[in-house]
Amino acid sequence: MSENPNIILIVFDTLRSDILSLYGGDAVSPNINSFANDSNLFNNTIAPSPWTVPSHISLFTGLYPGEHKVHEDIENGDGKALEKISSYNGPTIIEKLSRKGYNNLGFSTNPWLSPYTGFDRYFNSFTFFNSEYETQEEMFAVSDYKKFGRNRIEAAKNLLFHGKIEEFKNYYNIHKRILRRKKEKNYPYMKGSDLIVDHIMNSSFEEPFFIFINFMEVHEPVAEWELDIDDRKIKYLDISGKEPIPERHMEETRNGYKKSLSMLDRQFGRLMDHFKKLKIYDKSLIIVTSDHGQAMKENYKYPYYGHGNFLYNEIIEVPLLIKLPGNIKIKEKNGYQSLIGIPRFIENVIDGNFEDTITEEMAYSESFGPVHDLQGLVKNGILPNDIDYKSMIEKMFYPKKAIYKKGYKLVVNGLNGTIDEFTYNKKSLSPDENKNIINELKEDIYIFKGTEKFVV
Amino acid sequence: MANEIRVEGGLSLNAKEEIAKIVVKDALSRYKRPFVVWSAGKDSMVVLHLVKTVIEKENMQMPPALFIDHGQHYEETLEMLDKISNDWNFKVIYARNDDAISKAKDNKIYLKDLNKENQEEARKIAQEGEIKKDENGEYFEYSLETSVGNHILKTIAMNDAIKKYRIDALFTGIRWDENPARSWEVFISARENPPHVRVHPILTFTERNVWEYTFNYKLPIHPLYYQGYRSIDGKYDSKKTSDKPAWEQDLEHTKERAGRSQDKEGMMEKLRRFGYM
Repeated sequence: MSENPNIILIVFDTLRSDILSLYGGDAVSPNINSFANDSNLFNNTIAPSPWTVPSHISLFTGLYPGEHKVHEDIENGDGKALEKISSYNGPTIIEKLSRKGYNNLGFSTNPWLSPYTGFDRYFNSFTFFNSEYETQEEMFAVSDYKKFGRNRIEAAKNLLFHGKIEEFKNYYNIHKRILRRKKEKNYPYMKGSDLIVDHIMNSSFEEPFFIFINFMEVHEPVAEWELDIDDRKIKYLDISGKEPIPERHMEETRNGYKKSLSMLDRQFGRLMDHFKKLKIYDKSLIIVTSDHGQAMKENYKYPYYGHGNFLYNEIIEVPLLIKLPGNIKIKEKNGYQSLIGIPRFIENVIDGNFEDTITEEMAYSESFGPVHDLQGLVKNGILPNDIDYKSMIEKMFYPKKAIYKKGYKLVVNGLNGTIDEFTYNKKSLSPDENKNIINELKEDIYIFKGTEKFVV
Repeated sequence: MANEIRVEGGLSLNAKEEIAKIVVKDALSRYKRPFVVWSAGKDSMVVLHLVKTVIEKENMQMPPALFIDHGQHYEETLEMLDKISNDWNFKVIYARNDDAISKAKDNKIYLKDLNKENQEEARKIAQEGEIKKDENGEYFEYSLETSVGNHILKTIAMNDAIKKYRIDALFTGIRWDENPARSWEVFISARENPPHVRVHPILTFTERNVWEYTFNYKLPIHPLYYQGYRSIDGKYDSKKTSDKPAWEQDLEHTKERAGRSQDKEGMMEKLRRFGYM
């Protein structure tokens, strides 16, 4: 092939694979399913990290988080990643594509992937849509009122207590207006995918192009009960046992997750139809995947709502659909796919190599501590003073690494080398009765961790 | 220039050791997943010891060693690997081109028996006359002394390990005084396909320096050096250069690798380009 194909890389942020009917789930997604007919569906795809930033940098560099180092750490949580993302200067697939004459365009509604973090500098053009539909005035007003209390409820109470009736009314009205507008726009189920698709449909891009899109629809919040509370507060109060999320709320969340996916599916369908109409679809390379999944309080030692830190299947097993130019089907090798293989795969396709160059014998996922700065959350009043964040870190939010190999999965606690999870084809196994394979997997993790201080 | 051998003329061994340690420390601090290529031979033994010295001083952990297993090693070599890795507490990872080694019979490896990658690599690297033909088809000798044998049994095995283990820095014991192809190497040298860097801490050492260092620090010595071998690799190809122990031979005026029969003009340089040390 002499002409470089257009490339469209779509990340459905926070989409775990098992929810899709393509992977045995029961969510309704006709457009993704019909896209799968033209694509190669990969069954063992592992996110290299359980949250947005390290996974995306892996997706663009082909490196694991421990290698590109744009990841959280045990003291600062994601603050460390923010610092690193803005100064990262290693090579990415984007520059390689630029050298090949690609027009690199990014679209996102995820603030981590925006001009605010410096993520946009990889692209010729990057368009970030604020999906929360607040006006700037409202945004400033809300942050002004936050000075009166550590959260909305406390701020309102304090305003009343100090007799600031006018301010209270104003605050109340702004708050109500924002909520109403969100509802009108179908928030929290819709988070801006329509804006991205509209924008692309109304543009005409110079070819060959590389389009990267991050769709946030299935990222929390996905239920109305989640709207008025800080999502970090929900998670940590729940897992600490202080304020467990009621089961009826979790049910709403599980349903909302699928509902959000269906809404996203509709936008995805519009986008694919648009490319079909322009006769771009058939000849393009289109990759659909996710940066991580989402745990919804499945049955683990620490049932969790959210993503980050834990390396549960629901959090790191993600979908991967690759539609090759000419809708060619390829033979999938045995093994695992990691997002780190995507840049290499893209280069191979440009070079005319349409084999499965993404599947490898092993895949890893790694976490370096809690995603949030728990001490900071306590300091800022998002978490109560009496929450023992230090023991939470030691008990559950320690650094972890997972390896998938030959049907086995092993997760190791990096503080003391104990085994968090050991399964074969998703069924628990006794480590004591499987010493040989445990030793083999531990040796792989030992090599993988390199010079990092991580006990195996 | 490329045909000259470079020998560092004036530095004391002490100073060369300090340079080596700076190189080791710099590489260990910058690369995530370093490995030491280790054959139990004298040069890699010195590199391993330098790494161990720096690691202990910096309170780091010993990186794994990479042993290139071409299937023709002396028993003594394998015994040394086990003993030293146990005593010094590090892991040895074996890099082995199983596809090629398992197909060797009667000292021949037939191209048609190899997988696609090995076949392509063999054709790419083979010098004139190295790929021969008999009634069963095209083959090359199961030997380390040809470009093609060396490349398939050692370089491919090593490159596969670099990819598989995502190695980003490989420490090796090459020295400027070995041959012209190595005389213009630098301390840290970037490689592609697969991408990684080579770290060369003992470039400035002469062969004699290696033995001086070995005795100064009482490093384990491969038994074959006592029997007159100066360079040890495959058991069918390494040859004695004398009956005297290696360190008592005329190191300055005779060739170290004379023991190994390969010495074709430019072969080392060609191999280097395809990833061999």
